[in-house]
Amino acid sequence: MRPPRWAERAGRAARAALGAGLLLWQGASVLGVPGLSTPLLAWGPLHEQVRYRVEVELPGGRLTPDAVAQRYGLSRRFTDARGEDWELNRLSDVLEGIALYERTRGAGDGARVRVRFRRNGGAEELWQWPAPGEDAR
Amino acid sequence: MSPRSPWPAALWVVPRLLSLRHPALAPHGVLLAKLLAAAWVLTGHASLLPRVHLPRLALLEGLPPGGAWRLGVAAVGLLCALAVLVSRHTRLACLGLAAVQGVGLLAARGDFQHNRLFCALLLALLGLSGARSQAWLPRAQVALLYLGAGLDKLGDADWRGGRMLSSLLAELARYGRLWAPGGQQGAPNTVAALLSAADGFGPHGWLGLLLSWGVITGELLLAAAFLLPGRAARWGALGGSLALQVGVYLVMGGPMGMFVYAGLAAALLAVPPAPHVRLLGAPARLGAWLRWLDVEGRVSLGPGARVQARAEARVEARVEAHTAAGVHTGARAWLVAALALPAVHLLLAVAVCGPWVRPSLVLALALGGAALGLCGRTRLHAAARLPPAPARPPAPAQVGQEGAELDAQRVQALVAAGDAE
Repeated sequence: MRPPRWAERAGRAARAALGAGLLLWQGASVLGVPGLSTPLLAWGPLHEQVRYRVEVELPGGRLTPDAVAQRYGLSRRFTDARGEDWELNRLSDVLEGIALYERTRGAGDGARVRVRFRRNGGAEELWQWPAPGEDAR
Repeated sequence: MSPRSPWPAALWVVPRLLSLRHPALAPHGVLLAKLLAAAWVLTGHASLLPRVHLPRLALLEGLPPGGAWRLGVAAVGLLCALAVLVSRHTRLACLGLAAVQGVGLLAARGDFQHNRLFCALLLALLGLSGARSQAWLPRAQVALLYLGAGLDKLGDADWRGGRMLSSLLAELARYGRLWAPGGQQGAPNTVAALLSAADGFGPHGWLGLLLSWGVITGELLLAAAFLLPGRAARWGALGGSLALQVGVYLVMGGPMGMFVYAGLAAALLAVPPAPHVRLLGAPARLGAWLRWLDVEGRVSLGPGARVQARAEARVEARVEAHTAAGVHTGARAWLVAALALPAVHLLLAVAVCGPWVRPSLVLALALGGAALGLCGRTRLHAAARLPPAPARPPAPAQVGQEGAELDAQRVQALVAAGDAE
């Protein structure tokens, strides 16, 4: 049975509003509108390419690369013969994931994390958890 | 679906697969949804859903990290893809498939990929669009992707200076090809090796700079072309997006997940295939193939070459494709007619999404398509000279009779035109 005309119109309007809302949210993210933007929808494919290696020291010893990937849910899609990972999205996503894990699930592990990375073939940089000067929680 | 479909009832799925009819969606929207679903299935993306780990959505935190939920979500995704492919509840199935891909993106913080997000959003907006007033939604999505990508690169000093691209090519030359269906990851990447070895491709070389700015301006122009009305903009969007996606495939040695497939299929939004093509001068035996491949009568045949050969030799060599927009001749006529058939698009999807795909095959298809498109001429708005096309392709016996009548009209018209010249 065909729905009444008003229901069809309401459905069309709801779909249009939802679709337009999705697009506007992306637009706000692309333009970096405060309060509305999210990095997820800011469209930065191939923003950078980063070679990186994550080293994790626990009180019981150092984790293997596979155990590190398991701990932080890293995909390890592109690992070369030297055991270095390659990220074609933003490295900040990886670093935020590590920090979030260590703040929550791994908070009591006393882990010390070092990420050595080269962004776009540049000089080696170092990111640490906990940040230098802070104790491992 | 046409009641005159030659497919036996047991194979009902084939005519449904080849059908683009939908009460609300435009045919090219249905075709885009089918191509995205086919690519998702053929490339095995159902098996690439990540395990739940530090999800971006708190709701997903309670899900078991192991394989059970992945199996369930993948099964839902495959059902939705199947529904899209056989035109059952197309819009709802589009939303379902988009949701499955979205859940995959939100389930693991460390496994976010733009290409999957693009595919999911395109499907979601196809599911939300429908009536004519919302048909712009998927096109705006494509424009936003290119705008965001272009602005992001424009704002980055490494992209502007060419350092990002030159370092990426050096890494690709060392690492090899990226992921592609069939497990070719790490195989030698000839294009990246040739480019990175070229003079002028150093950290601040002119070639790297040229390519970087080519990508940045290309993406920004594509964003505008997908939004602007007008024939030039639409054809620019089509040509530009095809060139960009084929270039990405060749340089990266793979489709970047779903990115190249979604980008290629989205070109349909710029220039939709002709809804109906009347092909004149084609062999009459083509009608037998069309009965099977063209279940909705999108291509109909005019006078056959054999009939025309009796009347005048110069007519025989000419193949014309008549569409609502104009008349295409030469190889371009064949291309226009072929691209009006959903079966051809789906066959191309199988060719480039299966484990047999190689960069050489992608290059050959792109060059072949470009050559066919360039070999021929188009006269716009000349279709009125011909009698209206029938809704269905005529049966082979009718082609001869109708062909003889049309042939007489046509030869008279051509001879008169020739005399006038």
